[in-house]
Amino acid sequence: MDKLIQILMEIKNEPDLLGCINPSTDILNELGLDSLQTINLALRVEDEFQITIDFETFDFDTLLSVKSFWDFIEGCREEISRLT
Amino acid sequence: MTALKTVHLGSFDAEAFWRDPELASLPALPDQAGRRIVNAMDELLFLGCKAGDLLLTRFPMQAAFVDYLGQIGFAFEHNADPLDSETIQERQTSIFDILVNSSPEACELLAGVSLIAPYAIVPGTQEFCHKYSIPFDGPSLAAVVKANSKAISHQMAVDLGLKNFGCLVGSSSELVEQGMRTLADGPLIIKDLFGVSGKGSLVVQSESMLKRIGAHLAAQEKKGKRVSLLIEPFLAMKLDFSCQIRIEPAGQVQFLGLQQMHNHQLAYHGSSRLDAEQAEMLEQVGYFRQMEELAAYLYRDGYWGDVCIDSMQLEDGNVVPVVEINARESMGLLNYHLDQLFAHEGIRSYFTFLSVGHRGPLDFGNLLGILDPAGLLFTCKGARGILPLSANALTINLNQPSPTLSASPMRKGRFYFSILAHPEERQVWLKSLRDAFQDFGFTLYS
Repeated sequence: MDKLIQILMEIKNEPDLLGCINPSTDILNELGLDSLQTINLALRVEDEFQITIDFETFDFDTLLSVKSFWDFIEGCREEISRLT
Repeated sequence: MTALKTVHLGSFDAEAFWRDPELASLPALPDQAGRRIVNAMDELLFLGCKAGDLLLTRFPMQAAFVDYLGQIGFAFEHNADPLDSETIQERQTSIFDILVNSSPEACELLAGVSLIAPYAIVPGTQEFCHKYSIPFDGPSLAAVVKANSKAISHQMAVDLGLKNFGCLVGSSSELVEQGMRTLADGPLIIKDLFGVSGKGSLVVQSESMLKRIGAHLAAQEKKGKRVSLLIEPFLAMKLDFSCQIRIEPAGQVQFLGLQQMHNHQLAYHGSSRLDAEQAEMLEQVGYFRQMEELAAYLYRDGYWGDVCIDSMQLEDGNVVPVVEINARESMGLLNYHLDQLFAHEGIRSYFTFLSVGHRGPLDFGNLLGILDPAGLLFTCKGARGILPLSANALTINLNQPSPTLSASPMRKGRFYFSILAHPEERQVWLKSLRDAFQDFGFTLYS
């Protein structure tokens, strides 16, 4: 999850956030990611964790906490492992 | 002589209506809260209203905001009821389509209106004029769409021999191929032909991300969509600015001004009048002659009306005259209006906004009631202060709970405002406003 938090800080580009992001932080409404930052987050996460996000079916509620988004990433990775 | 009554209205997501639905799109995630905010931005158009004009907004303007605007000299008519129903809010529908289909209150308000000042001409604008017997003397929708396409602005730059770095690609494989070549020298930007600042552009820094975007587009190609995108190297920029022009129906070109654009990453954050020194530099490099040539080109292609041409100066000093063309009204034009109305003895307008979160509900009158005694609120020409430019864009998500909103108690809003002050004082005003918002319970996103 630390890597995900690091990506979030890089996308927000605000050093003040260091130490403020924790597993319960709401990515959309507390960090306030805009549409450009949200898609950049998705693309960075795909790149970093070698997963593919279906943009058409992605559930926005997954971004209501860092932990739920991390669980989503872990789920995608497990699915890939299962299929290979 | 009685002034002709003008109706002001528009949809700030005009690009979405111009875009060919058969075009493949870059990866994007839907943002309903953001869409509601954009739908509520039409009240910013009060800045163009003269006394007695009519402003129609999708959501009715809040009484406290209208009262405040009346106190600083804005006297316009406006609708008291929503033009939109709750169900329509969830769809992407232009205000013109809403008014063409129904709105009993608008029928009464539009009686006596002789002119229309749309933010942008979109599908439904001419039908709206026809339905309410308002003369329409604008360009054709086809000419408007063409003028706003980045494919055309790229072609104009090529035809006029202007400096540009873009490359049009017509397939996912061409995107990856051309992108790989560009990536060899550094990051690149992929632009949708009808993307706007903060949406429809992606910075690509790695081959894997480029291939992922290529795969996303290839999947759409298989479903029959067509790829047409602009690729540019991500250039080190020194100055981001725009030129506001009005092309008259007979073709005369009127220069309204130059605005510096304050951007963060690829997203728009504000406008202020460009310094005289920078304008002088542009004069020396022939920028205004280039703008005249572009305006003539647009007119030959059938467009007239307001135009905002985005330009930039690179770190190496070179000026790129055409980054994109917005054949519509613009944020820069709104700041031009603000300076025309309120610039006074060194006081200039800085048009900007705060992206905020709040647990709601929020009474905009209470917010004004905090800003005023704190000495922050702009009260009259010649004074310095914060001039709020929208209430609904701030409160639309906070005050309208809906089952479709997220389960989070925090809701997004955007507070548009102008800092009317000497340029060197702006940061002090901005800090005071941010402090006041935090005291009021807002979370500041940027």
